[in-house]
Amino acid sequence: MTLESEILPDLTLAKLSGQVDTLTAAELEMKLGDLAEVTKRALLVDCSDLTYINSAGLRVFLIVAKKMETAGGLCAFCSLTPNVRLVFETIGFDRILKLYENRAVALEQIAPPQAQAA
Amino acid sequence: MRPGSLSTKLNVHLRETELVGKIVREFGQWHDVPEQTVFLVKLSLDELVTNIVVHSAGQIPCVREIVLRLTTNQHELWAEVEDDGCAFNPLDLPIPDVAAPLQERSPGGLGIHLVRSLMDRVNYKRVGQRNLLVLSKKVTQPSAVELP
Repeated sequence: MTLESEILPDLTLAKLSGQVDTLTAAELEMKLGDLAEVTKRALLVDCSDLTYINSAGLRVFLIVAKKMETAGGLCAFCSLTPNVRLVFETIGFDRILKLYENRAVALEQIAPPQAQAA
Repeated sequence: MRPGSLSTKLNVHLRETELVGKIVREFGQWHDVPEQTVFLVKLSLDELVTNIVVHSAGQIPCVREIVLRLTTNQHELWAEVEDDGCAFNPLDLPIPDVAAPLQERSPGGLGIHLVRSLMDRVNYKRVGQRNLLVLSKKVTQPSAVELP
């Protein structure tokens, strides 16, 4: 599991790669939690290279998304592979978490430059 | 799929979930199991083995061994997880409310819910002094290896 982040003016981008399982979930919770702390508006987790996730990792997503929402922010996810999307849908995460098909769509929706200027 | 079977013993440790993933992937390759089925079976077994290890910690006697079996025929895959711990049926765990809004969602119980939902059948039996969980998943995708 690796998490690479980039802090932009309107959002924090986190690229999650590899496998998130029982052994790596604690590390993810710490890293994603730290990013949520420094993120003012939105945290976007790019899952295009996330090959595996189990309930321990899904629990982290839920905790971080709740925390962001409580603080008035947003935690969104993009580019889910078909397997990861199926898992999200099975536990209803597609209804409670903000999902975008790809990074471009997510950026356009979350941080459109014209909306910021207006 | 290519018909076959595999049986192995696991230590009672969370690190073994990594090995479970490796076993399922390799078994899948040898038996021409579709990629998505490999993913779903790997996830289900990961959740069940994790549950056994975590629950074993508070049990007397604790679990000493976990046996994993995988079997395929042309159209279906079965997985069995057996342990020698106290009677414990994970299917008795409460089902999470997957329709609840974000702030009301509890992070617990997701693993067993995934197993129940992603497999076609999940059965629990207490056999003597052992817990036995049997999962099955039908595979509709045509196999690359057509047997006569």
